[in-house]
Parts: sequence; C-alpha cells; structure tokens
Amino acid sequence: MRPLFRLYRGVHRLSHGLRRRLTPLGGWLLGGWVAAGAFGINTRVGMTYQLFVLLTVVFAVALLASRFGGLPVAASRRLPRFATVGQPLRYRLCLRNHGTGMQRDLTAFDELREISPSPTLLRRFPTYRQWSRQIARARGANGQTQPLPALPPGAVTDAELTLNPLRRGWLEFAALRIGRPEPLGLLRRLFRQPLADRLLVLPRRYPVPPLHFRDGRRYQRGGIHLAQSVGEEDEFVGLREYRPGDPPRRIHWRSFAKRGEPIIKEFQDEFFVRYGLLLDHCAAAADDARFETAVSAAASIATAERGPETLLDLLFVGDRAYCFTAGRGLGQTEPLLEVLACVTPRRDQPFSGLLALLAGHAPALSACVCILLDWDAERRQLLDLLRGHGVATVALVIGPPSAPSPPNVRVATAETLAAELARLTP
Amino acid sequence: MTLVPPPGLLAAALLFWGWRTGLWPLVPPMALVLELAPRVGWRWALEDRELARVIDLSTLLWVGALILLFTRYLNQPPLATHLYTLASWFPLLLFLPLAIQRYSAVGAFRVGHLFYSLRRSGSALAWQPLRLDAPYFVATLLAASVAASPDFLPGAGLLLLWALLATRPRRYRWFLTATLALAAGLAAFPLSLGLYRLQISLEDQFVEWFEDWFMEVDPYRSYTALGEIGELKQSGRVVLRLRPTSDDPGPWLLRDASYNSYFDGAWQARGVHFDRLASRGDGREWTLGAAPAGVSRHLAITLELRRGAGMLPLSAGAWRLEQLPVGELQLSNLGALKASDGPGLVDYRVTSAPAATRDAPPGELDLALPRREQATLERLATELGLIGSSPPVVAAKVKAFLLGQFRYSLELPASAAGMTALETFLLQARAGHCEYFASAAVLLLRAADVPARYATGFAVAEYSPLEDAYVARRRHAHAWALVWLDGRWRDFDATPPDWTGFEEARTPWWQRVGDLWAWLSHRFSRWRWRETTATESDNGWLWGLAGWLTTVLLWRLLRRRVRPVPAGSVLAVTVGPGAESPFYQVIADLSAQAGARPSGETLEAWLCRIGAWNAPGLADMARWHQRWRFDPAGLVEEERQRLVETVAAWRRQNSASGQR
Repeated sequence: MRPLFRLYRGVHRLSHGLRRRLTPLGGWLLGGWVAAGAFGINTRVGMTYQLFVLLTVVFAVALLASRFGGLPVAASRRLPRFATVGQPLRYRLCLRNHGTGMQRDLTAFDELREISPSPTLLRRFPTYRQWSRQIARARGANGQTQPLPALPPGAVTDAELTLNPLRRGWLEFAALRIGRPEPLGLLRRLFRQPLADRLLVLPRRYPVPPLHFRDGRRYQRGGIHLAQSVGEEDEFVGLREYRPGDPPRRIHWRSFAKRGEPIIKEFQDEFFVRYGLLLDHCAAAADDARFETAVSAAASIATAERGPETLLDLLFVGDRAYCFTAGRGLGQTEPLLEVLACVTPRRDQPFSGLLALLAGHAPALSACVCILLDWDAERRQLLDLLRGHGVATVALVIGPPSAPSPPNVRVATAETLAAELARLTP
Repeated sequence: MTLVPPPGLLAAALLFWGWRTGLWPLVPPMALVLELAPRVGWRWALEDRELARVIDLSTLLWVGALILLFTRYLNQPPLATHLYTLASWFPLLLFLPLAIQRYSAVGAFRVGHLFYSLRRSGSALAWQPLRLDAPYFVATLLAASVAASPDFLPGAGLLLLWALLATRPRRYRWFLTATLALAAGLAAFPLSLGLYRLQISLEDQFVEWFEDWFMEVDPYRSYTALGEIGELKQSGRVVLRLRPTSDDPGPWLLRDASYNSYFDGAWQARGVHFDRLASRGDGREWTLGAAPAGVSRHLAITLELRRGAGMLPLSAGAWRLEQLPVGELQLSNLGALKASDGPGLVDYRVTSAPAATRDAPPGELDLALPRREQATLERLATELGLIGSSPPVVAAKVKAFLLGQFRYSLELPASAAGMTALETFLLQARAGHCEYFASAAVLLLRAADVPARYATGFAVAEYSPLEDAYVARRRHAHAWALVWLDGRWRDFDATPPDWTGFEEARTPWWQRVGDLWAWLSHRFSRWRWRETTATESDNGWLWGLAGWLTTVLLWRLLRRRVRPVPAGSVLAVTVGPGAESPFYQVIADLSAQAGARPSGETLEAWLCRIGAWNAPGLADMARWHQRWRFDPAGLVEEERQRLVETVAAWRRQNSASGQR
C-alpha cells in the first residue's frame, strides 16, 4: 500500500474509532484535552497544564472503568430483501436482555465489511476526503451510531437502525457493535456481536412512463412457454371437433376414446409484444460513474409499467452474452433488478458480442431501448440492425458522447437522467 | 444525542473564568443572558440562513481578534503571550453564537453552518445538529486556565464534577460517578505538580547538555565573503526606502556599522562602546551631536525593525533624527546607531550636514595592518608610491589603483596557493566584489599611515516609480572605506561605480512581481505600524466594526418574529406548529421510564406498547397534542389551557407515584 494510503487509513481508523467510542461530552472534552496539551506545553505559563493533567486522569479513569462488566444482551437483525441506493435503509434489531437489570443508554451501529476500493477508482494523489469517500463507497453504506431503547430484564425489545446505501451490489454485514457508556459518561465500550449477513442493494431508479411503443405484436416461435427457445411447435389453445382435412397426428386420442368421435387438438400461432432492454457493457470509453448511470437507467426502465402481454428481455454481455426475460409468467421484474444490481462493466469484451446477441433476438422484438455508453460506428451499426428488423428503437447515450450523435439518439447525464427518463417513450 | 448542561453550570464556569482572568465585570451580564434563556417565554424564529449569518458574524469577530493579536505580536513578541490572550477570550468570542442558540426556536446550529463547503451540501454531516453548550463549557475552562494565578485545579475539578454528574449515564448511580470523578481530581493534584517539576528538571538538563553548543551572536563582528568560493547571490528584496526631502541628488551611502580591525576575512569593531542617547521633544527626536554650521540636508528613511530593534542606517554627517518612536537609542564610538523597544516599522527623518561627525577620532587600531597580509600591503604601498604622500594624494592614488586595475565581479575565486584571499585579490585575481575593494582600500590607506575604517551599509541609487521613493534592495548592501581626511571621517568608495549596473543586469524577470508584492506588504506594514505604535484606542476601527455588526445583528434580531413558549418549559429544540406543546414533557417523562420511542413507531403505538395509553387522560392529551401539531386549525386557546392543566396534573400524579 502506498504510504499516503497507509497514512489515510491510519487517520480513518483513529477518527472512526474515536467517533464510535466517545460520547458527545467525551468528544468535546477530548478536544479540550488536546487544546490544553498545546497551550500547557510550558508549565511556567498559566495553569493550562493542570487542566491537561486533570483531563488526562479523568480519561484514564473512564477508560479503566469501561473495562469492567459485560453486556448481557443478545441481538439479531431483521433485514429486508432489498435496499436501494440513495434510499435510507431502515431495519430492525431484536434485542434480548439476559441480565437482571435494566440496560439503558446503549448505542449500536452495524459494522460493514471493509473492502478496499479499486485502485482504478483512486486518483494518483487523492485528498483524504476523496479517499474516504471511495472507502465508504466500497464498503457500501454509511451509518451513524444510534441510541437503543431501554432494555428491561428478560424482555425482547425491537430497535430500528438506519443505513444509507451508497452503491448497488451486496452489502456485507460483519458484526453488530453495541456501545455501553462508562460511569463518567465520556467513553463507550463496544461489544461485538458477530452477526454476519448480506443484503442486495438495487440500483437507483427514476420514474419512467409506461412503456408503449407504436409497433405492435410479433409472432413468437414456440409460443409463450418456449419463448426463450426455438422449435416447430405452435401454442396449444384447446380441443375441437374433427373437420375434414385435419391431420391425424393432431387427434387427441384420449378424448376420441371418451367421446367416440375424433377430437382434434387446436393450435394457434402466438403473437405478443416483446421489448428488449439493451445495456452497453463496453465501459472502455466511459468511466464507471457513467456505467452506474446507465445501470440506473436500465433499472428504471425495467421497473416501468408495461402491458400484461409484454415481455422484457434484458440483454447485456458479461463474461458471456446474457438475455434475461421477465413478464407473462416467465419471470418477475425483481430478478432483473437483482441482475442489474450485480452487473459490472467489461473492458475485455468487445462490443461485437452485443451485436451478435442482438442479431439472434432482433426478429422477435417489437421494440428495444438501448442504453449506450458512447456513440460511434459500432453503436450506429447496432441501431441499424434493429431498424433493419423493423424494431422500434429508443437510444439513450449516457454522458457526452465522443462523436456527435444524430438527433434521434438522446443524450443524458447523471443530472439529466431523471428528466430524460420521464419522457422516454415516443 | 444532544448535550445540555445543567442550569447554572455555564454561569458558574463564567464566574470562575472572570475571577481568574480579571474580566469579572463582563461575567454578570453574560451569565444572566445565558441562564435566563430557559425562563423567558419567547424564542426567536430564526431561519437556517440567519443562523449561518450568526456564525459568519462570530467568525468575523474571531478574525478581528486574530488580526488585533497579530499586530500586537509583531511588535511585542513572543507569540505565546498573544495566543494565551486569545485563549482567555474564548468565552467572549463564543458568547454571541451560544446566546443566539439559546434564544432561537431551533435551539441548535448545524455542522454545515461552520463550513462554507458544507453549507449547501446535502450530506448527513452538514445537517448534524451542533449545540455549543458543551464546547462553550470546555472553552471557558481552557480560558480560565490561562491565568497564572493558583487555585485553578480545585475550581476546574468541581466544575467538571458537576458537569459529569449532570450528564452521567442513568444506568449508574450518582455516587459511583462522583467517586470516580473525585478520585480522578485527587490524583490530578500530585500529577500536575510532578509535571511542573519534570519540566523544570528537563530544562535544567537541557541547558547542561547544550550550553556549549550555543554561541552569543557577536554584534561587534562582520564576517565577509572574502575567501569563499563560488558566486555571491543576493536577493532583490527591498529592505529600505529613502525619500530626500531637500535638494539632494544622491546616490547615498547609508552606513549602519563600521569596523576597525581586520583578521582573516572578518572585520571587527574593537574597543567599541555604546552610549545611550536621550530623546527630546515628543520623545521621538534624537540628536547625535552638536548642530554643525552650514547647510543641512534632509532624508526620510523607512526601515523595518525586526522585533522592534536593529541598526539604523544613516548618511554621513547625520546629526539629528526625528519621528523615530523607539524606546532606546544607542550610539557607538564608531558611529553605529542601535535602536530597540521600537515598532516593527520606523519612518524617520535624518538631518545631515557635511561638517557633522558622530564617529570617534582615529586611534591606533585605525592604522593597524593584519599580520598575515602586512608584508604584501607594505610592498604594494611602496610600489604605488603611497609612502610619504599626503593623505589626499594617498586616497587619490589608492582609488586610481583600485578603479583602474581591478574589475567588479561576483565570482568568488579560490585563493592562490600560499596567499590569503585578500592577497589573491590584490596580486592575482584583480576582481572581486565590494568587500574586497573596501578591505583593500582600508588596508592600503593604513599602509600609507592614513587612518581608515571599514564601513557597511547600503548604496541607495535605484528610484522606484511604483513607490515614488528610492529603494535599497538586499543586493544593494555595500561595503566601503572611511578615511580620515582634513580632520573628519569621509566616505571613500573604491568599488568600480558600474557595480550597480552589474547587479541590475542580473535582475530576474519576475522582480517586478516581487516589487509589487513588496510594495503591498510595505503598505500593510505601514498600517500595522500605526496600529501598534499608537495607543489602544487606535484599534477603534476594529471595535467600531464589531460594535456596528453587533448593532446590526441586534436590530435584525429585535425585528424578528418571536414565538411564545410556556413559562417553565424546557428549551424547545423542534420547530413547527405544536413545538411548545407541554405534552413533550410527558413524552420525556415516559421516555425516561420506559425508553425512548423508536423513530419508526407512532406515538399511539408506543404509548400502547409501554402500557401508558390507558392511563387516565393520557389518550386525550396525546390527541390534543397531535391536533396541535398537525391540524391546520390547531387548538383553540381553551383546549390549549386544558392540555396544559391536564399535563401538569398528570405529571404531579406521575411524580408522586414514582416517589412511592
């Protein structure tokens, strides 16, 4: 680790530890202690050194007193299924006091697993503020020490904790720390409860109008149930009486046996609406913040209202080409959001992978929303491919593109994304 | 979690501070303002930006205090004294925001108010409430500790004990907190005494270890660069400004010291002694000698005095100084003038006349030759035909010799084998800077039995249109000879006159920027000098500004809408309708008994959970309370009155049952 980061980490640990362990009065008195140390450096001038000594002894006594006694409190955490970036995550703690006395003045905070930020995210010489922002982002959430209600002996009490998720993906809970003040009320001793857990944070989402494109339904080979596969079978719709000319292989033999007259299985070609949501993965030309905005846009569109007969295919390239479908019994929107919560930009995969994926899917699509990270010849080719198949297309380029984009391609930044999404459908 | 000190604690801390620092006349009004806050029935409804302005105003007060102390420091070091003064003002400087906080309806600032970068930020840190009560208490203790009078520890210990008892966690009994705090206080007595003795012991040790390492700076010696190798580099920093106030074309040689004994590259002032001069008139006029006959010339010299003391450069024949506000002025028998106890900047007038002299007549030392160079000098004097010539002829010959056969150079060549630096200059290199020329001139004159001395100072010839004055830069520092001719000492400069042009050619391109900066800092120095040399009342503008700002603040505050709060209620820390509802007291009582209401739980659910909902009258009180807060129509006066009465009755009953 670079010496600068080592220094930052030391400062971070110290300030973090002090914030968690000091009560408000303890914090101010510690500040006074430092000031008294500075002003009292010369014991011949003033009596500030006496204040320094007094506060030193008081803190020493507080530290000693905090070491005595335990905390007979067991805790468990009740997390919701998901959280969302930027939305405060409120969840409950279930606290049981095993002791014989009332437990008051306790505080708690959740300790998240520390993850080092990716070196690519850090500048060569980041300021401490930039560095700590990246550390917090890698950790996933920010949380304050929060007071707990009084815990009567033997009782189970609920408490609420709040975290502010800072990024999508998994939030790894390492432990719960419960703070107990010492008799002077300056320091807290932190008791660790190893409550490991994890929670998926979904991308930030914005309101999107219902997805309705002018282009209508399309024939889906294999019907609904085989919507993802390719085959010769049409969709079974019911039974009817035999009409001359019906092929014998469509006779429903079991009904024939019951009725004594031939009954024919009737099939019908399926036509329905299938939308594509294409997420550009090639973040080589774009930075990670732009990719995050693109994921937010994709998540917002994925959760937009669409018709009951509409399918939505999420198309993107990770370590290979992926297509996830939601709608009409094939899947809910939640799995799409889970996928989007974990998707990462791929700098090693060429854009042609997305082109190949789309070439197979384009005939089945009625419309496609393309979230692009830049505008260039390959992306123009992608839109041409879609339009060549008669697919209604909406293209949204995130961030200022490196080449001027045509008027029918929209451009959005992190700041204007909400406005662009609000008028997404034509 | 908010931290509110118990009633009376801040007043007691202020009394302690006032008693120790002698600022006790300020204490009663300050304590009264702070302690009356919970008892008055109104609050200022200040908005967020108005609270930010209060912080801005107090920041201005801090800046003003810092400027005031900085200007004092510049003339009355050391810095520590002024830092201690600043520390003793902490309660004064923090009083305004604390008072506003206590009388505002919001009852707290926020962290964002402190920093411009956070003020408009939406970060959680910016919106964290900031109550100044606890820091004010700590700052007051710190301010009280600055005074050197004894009995600090018992008073501070008692105040701290009070604070710790009042804010102790309720899970512990008071006597446990008290016992631990008392134990800490008792332990602090011997430890602080030990720390005091440890410092004294360490200081003694330190002096023993390092006393041989430190040398007194010898003000009677001038080290030259004679014999050094390399290139002489001098800065272009302006050190002196000169304005001729009479018809005097210049250039000027302003001498700040002269020396009479040379040894191995160093000139020393041997046998020198300083005599204290007496000031005249308004205490800023000084006479160096009797008024001479003839026409006098006048100069105004502006000079920065480091720590209020230093040598004053003077022109030859100076006999009177005016407008020089220094405490002490000493004149040496070699004509050096030493000032002390003065301001950081002096702007004095010099009156000079050719006939005046402030130097003692020549003695034996003014004819002495250094042993190492004696043979060379005598040989050279003979070769130049100096021996036996009259002093004016000797001076002319020496000048002709040095100006004709030597050139000016800032290169410092290595001495030739077996020769001293001066011999190398005279016999081989024949190039050097002013110290070489001056030393050679003095010693050659002496070799011809003409008394001479070595003088240092500044050659002032550069006119600065920016400053409308002649300026002397550090690189204009010059050395020349004094020669005894016709019964008085005269300046004898044997350095080739093109030396200034030589120096100017080496002027870097950025000097104009540096000059502008120097001029600005000089203007600041002039302002600073006026500030510090005058009496305290000259800081009137600062106090005037503070007073004006405070008046504006008070005027704005008095125009504010005030919101009534029921008498006897605690300080409201929330805004919005119903903030003054007495039911908050019931909530506080119940929270103390059964734990605080979690933020996700409604008031009714909480009251049901802790079993208080069915208590007589409580459900009604809660409904009135909620209506007061959320019903746009609010509560009518009768309902409010009933709520107040019901709450009072409930609290009486609750406390009685608690005691049982």
